Amino acid sequence: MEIRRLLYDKRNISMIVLLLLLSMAMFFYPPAGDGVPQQQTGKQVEDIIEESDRYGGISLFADTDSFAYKNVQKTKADYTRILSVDVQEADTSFFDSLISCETVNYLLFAIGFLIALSYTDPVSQGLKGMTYAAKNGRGRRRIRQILVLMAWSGIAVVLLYGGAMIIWLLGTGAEGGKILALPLQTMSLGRLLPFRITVFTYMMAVIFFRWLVLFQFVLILWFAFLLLEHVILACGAVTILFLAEYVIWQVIGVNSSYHLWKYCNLWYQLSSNEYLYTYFNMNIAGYPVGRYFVIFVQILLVGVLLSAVAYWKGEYSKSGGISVRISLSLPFGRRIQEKLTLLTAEMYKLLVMQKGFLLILLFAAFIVNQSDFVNVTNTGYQDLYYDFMEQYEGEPSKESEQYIRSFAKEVNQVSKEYEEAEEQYAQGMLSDDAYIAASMKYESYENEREFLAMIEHQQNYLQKLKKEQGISGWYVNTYCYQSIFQPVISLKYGLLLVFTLLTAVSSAKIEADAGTINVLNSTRLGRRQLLYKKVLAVSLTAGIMYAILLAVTLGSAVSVYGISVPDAPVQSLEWYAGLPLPVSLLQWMILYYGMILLVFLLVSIGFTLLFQKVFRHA
Amino acid sequence: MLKVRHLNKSYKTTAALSDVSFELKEGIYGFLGPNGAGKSTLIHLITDNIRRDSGEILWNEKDIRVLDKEYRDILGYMPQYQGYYKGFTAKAFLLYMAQLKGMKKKEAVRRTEELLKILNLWEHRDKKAENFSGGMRQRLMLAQALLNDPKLLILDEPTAGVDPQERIRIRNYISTIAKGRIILIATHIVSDVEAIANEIFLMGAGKVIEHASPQKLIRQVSPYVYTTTVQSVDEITQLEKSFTISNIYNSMHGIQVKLIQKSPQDPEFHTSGYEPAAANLEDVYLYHF
Repeated sequence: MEIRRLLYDKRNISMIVLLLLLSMAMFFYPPAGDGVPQQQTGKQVEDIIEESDRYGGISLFADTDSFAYKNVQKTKADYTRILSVDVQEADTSFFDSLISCETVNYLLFAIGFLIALSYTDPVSQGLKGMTYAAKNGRGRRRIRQILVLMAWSGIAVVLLYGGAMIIWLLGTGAEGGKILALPLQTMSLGRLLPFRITVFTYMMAVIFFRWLVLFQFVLILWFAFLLLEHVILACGAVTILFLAEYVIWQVIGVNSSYHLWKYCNLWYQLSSNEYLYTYFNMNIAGYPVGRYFVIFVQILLVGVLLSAVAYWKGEYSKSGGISVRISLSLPFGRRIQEKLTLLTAEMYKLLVMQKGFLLILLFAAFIVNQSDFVNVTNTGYQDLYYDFMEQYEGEPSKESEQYIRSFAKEVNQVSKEYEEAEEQYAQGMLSDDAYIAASMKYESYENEREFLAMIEHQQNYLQKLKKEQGISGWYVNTYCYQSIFQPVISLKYGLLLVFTLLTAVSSAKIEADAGTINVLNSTRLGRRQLLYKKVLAVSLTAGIMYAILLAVTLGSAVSVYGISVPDAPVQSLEWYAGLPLPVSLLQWMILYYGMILLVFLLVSIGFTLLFQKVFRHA
Repeated sequence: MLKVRHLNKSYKTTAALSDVSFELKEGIYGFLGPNGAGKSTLIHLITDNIRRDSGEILWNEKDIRVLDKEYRDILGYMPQYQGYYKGFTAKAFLLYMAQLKGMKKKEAVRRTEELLKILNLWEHRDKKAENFSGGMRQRLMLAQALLNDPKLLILDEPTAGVDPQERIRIRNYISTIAKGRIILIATHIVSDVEAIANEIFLMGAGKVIEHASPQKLIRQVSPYVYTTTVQSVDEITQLEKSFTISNIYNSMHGIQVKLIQKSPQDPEFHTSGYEPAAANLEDVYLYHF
């Protein structure tokens, strides 16, 4: 019966299903691989083993009782195991996506929250008195609930990863099945994991660990609900715990002697999948122990401890939760409630009573996580590009064209010298050393060639724009505007759509849940007027989320690239060449985001009206 | 005046209301009937929460659908199921409902405070409704129904789940505010309407079976109400073939049974061994259902 309780909670179960589907969709986004060919895996393993041998000769690693020595020996032994693994070529990008997609972790976080929420026993429902009086209603019930939480966490993870894998297999057929039987090292993310297992076995291990981590989070949240008997307080407590874990994770270094706290860390385990694909030994009492094993033991200990305390509380604790003793009728909160208008009452119901603010926070956390605020992945040619833009962005000038010509001359000269060297070397007219020197010089100009190709392309485009359309385009930093004008069909907007939908559902469902539909219907303003207010409230909430997305997107772009000549004609960007509007980039930005906002507002209005109809007649 | 004429409502193949007609002037009216009699359907139709299949509901000779907001201005409705927002305090909830009733802010505050005091909720005004007892929630629901000083007050099971003292208090309060209003009470608790209703409507299978003042209904049934004393439960089982058992009381002299004759014109019926008993509205209810 306990296990079916989640199924009876229609709102939570439908939200979970929605989140699972969205998460699954994210797995099919192509991941960014690191481009290392699979055949090079064997070479890398040999390098690791050689390095281990080299370390043995260093005094720091010579002390056989030291962790450093033991770690080196363990590493060597572990990697020797996979030395003879036959790595074949195969497209494992889907599995790499399954492992590397950390965005899904946020959605699993939301799913875990909903699972835990379904198993709270609020004092207001009067359940506590009834269940406490029953024979099996105390400690044993708590243990049953914990097992049910474990089951639901497992079901969610299996549905998510297993479902995605089944869909993939249906698409790839027998070929896909063969990939599952290949060695783990075939996978881009698995190639340096020293386990002689197949891709399939590894995926089972990944599912197992994701299940454990999700269960740990669900258990902690449920335990907080149990202790505090108040949803918002419990969420607040867990949020503080998360923040503390986040700070610990950030502050403690990888090689710190406190690195146990860095990895046995709720924030780290939930938000990152790194421990699933990175080989790392932790120092446990001077012995090297695989990180995944330490995490497994830690989760086990947390589970046992919380289960014991929950059992004790259920069995022996007679008093109510902490929240019962805290008066939550704070004057401030009361005054707000009493001053609510019809519109602000709808916002209050949505954001406070339906915990919509948690949705907004989750959305914000996701959007921030998806964005970069520091440019940390500059390639060499990007640096040259930014330098050029810093000096010459704007209308093409004599100086900018002169710079490009001089640069091209220099780069072409190096290429020419290399071609000549190649020719001479082939004819035996050049020494090895001279040829190597010419090759190295040519290779050292790779970034310059990339940059030249980019800037000449932009230059040609501007010339074509002038010739064919009579528009004087400017040099603008295209990276900046690629970041600003992101495609609408993307994860961020997809999530905004989903969250808007959830907001609309919440707005409609609150009256159905509270049982107030008929009473509201019998009042003067409880029909059309109330509906308008609800539509407005959902639109405002969607607007808030959109504003967050906009602020983060623009903030990220400005932070990383700055805003590049916003006065430039919009057609300066090649992908807007056909735009028949005589507007600047700034004006287009306003129009672009204004149109998207309008679309989302229309969508939110549509959803709200639809769900109002559905739940009013349900 | 509220007029209901030839009202019909069906749910798929089930006729929830069949050709129901009545007129209500100022006063308190009780609607009694078993589950499925059509009381809730009637209430939902009068409060315009559902569409009627056919018939009319007129307030002062105008159809309530045509009146629309004007009708809802004079309507106060206390539903059977306590619908409230958990997170709202009692006072905040009433102020919110007052807004929905189109009341001005000042009037809303005055009326909210007045009702909270009258219904003994003033001390609990800043507590959340979710922390109220059942009786307190009923009073809160009654308070929201009375906010706009309605001319037509619909109360669906107003004393359900409430202790006797509370029930009497609510009942008496309803009686005091009846002047100048039409109060319609749908209930299973017969004693509540027996004490205060001007007229009782007995509903069964979607129809109004009988309607009259409580006294008249009781007089009609009185000739058929008896008591007798039996010595064993088996005898009661025998009695159930011919009578409806109204009450069973175990005393030192045997089991005293109050019963209502099922078919009054039965020529085989003998009165020896049966004493006439004082009838009440419960007996009326059992007689008809």
